[in-house]
Amino acid sequence: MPTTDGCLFTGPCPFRALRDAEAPGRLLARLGVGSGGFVSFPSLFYHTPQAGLAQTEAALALEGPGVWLHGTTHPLRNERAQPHWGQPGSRVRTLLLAPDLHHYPLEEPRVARVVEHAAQAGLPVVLLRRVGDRRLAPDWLALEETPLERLCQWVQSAPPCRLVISQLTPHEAATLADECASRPGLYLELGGFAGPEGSFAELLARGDFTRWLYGSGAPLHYALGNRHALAEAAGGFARFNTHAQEVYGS
Amino acid sequence: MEAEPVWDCHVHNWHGFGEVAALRAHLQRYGIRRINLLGPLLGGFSPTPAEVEACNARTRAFRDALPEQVAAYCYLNPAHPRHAVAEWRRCREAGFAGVKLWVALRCHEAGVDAIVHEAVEAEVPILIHVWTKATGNLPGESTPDDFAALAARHPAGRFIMAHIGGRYEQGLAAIGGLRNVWLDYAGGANEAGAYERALEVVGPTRLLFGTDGPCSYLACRGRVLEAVADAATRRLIFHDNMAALAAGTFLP
Repeated sequence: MPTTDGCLFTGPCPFRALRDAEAPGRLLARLGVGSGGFVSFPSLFYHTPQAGLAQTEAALALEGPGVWLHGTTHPLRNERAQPHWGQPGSRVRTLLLAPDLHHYPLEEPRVARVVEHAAQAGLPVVLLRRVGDRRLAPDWLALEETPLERLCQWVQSAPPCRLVISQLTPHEAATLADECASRPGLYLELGGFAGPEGSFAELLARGDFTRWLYGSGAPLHYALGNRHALAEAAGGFARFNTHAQEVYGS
Repeated sequence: MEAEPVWDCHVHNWHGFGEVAALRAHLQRYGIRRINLLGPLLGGFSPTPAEVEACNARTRAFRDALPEQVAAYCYLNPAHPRHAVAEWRRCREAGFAGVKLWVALRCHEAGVDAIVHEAVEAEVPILIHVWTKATGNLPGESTPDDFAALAARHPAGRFIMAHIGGRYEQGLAAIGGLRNVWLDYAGGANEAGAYERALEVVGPTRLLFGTDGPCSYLACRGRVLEAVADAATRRLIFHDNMAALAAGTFLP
């Protein structure tokens, strides 16, 4: 079983009623996961991401310690990691970038400055590749995605930090693992999207990249199926759990 | 490993399943009782008659190698309606059990009617690829509204809407009230709520289990396990609904 699901969503979803989206502790219990890193929907969709994040933080006041948050940050809105993030008592454990959703290029210098600042604060940086399946999104959420080649270039050149690329397809994960294996501190997340039979096993059999994380994308996605497929391919979740401990502390 | 028998209504013999041995191993590995084999879809989006025939020959070879497990579906291109009818009759003689339509022609077009008449006469299902993509459909790709128009025009037909139409809310909104429609949620679409909402709209006897294999079987199976707690409903979805549809014993 995974101890940590590094990519879940919480808060009011603006386009669909989602089971347990506003009860993250109940979602973790339903999925049988002890610790979950939640992306706040308000932080993604408000004009000011960190205002939305603050609203979600307040809404989670009574949740258990297994519920923690990704710190959505918009580098072009003069946002950066808050001083309390990553500190004892704070639910926010990472700095999260959503460049396609927030419409900025990764190459913009302010992105690098925000990443450097997060690294100095000891926070991992999470790049959210997408919010759900682009093909199935509402029309207004059918985003242009950063081409994979450009994403690889950015990953290789981004300032030193623990860097997580979240919500990848198996094909994208394979490309990043091939192109960016030498980048220190890079972690790639699996579990949000499935591929053909054998695709997870092929990925995990590569010897040159090993830092895999688990993140389901629930409750936007069903979690159980991809989890079963990953578990079969990996022979369990031990390696994912070890890496989650390294990156997220749980 | 199966707690209930499985009839996967949506499998292709291409890519990882391009050889009989690979498909046989897959079926054995997961204890899958039966599949609808929809062909390798040779020839791109609008295949020639020769490509359609080659596709069905490949499907027939798999069926002959795995007769207990494979229900062969005849792939047709309704853009060539005369050939489609002739090809169906040829395949029907060879024991094909259903019809598969993909993206050559939107299914509400008149060219599809002759195929439906044949399927109605033979009392076999027609499985149709249906999607609405936020990123845009192919020119010949059927939408849920296209599918609903066809099903409404042919009340004696038995129609399977693949993928619940892609964006499941739109798929389910289109087919409300039609009693000659079944649904699969096969493939890469993994939107939580699809099965739950489909159960509300069409009830437990119209949902079929499909993978779009070689898409991951476990990934698709787990969606049902997560969405449907009731064991009897799971059994209907995993097997019994497709068995009843194939046998013509479904409740109208």
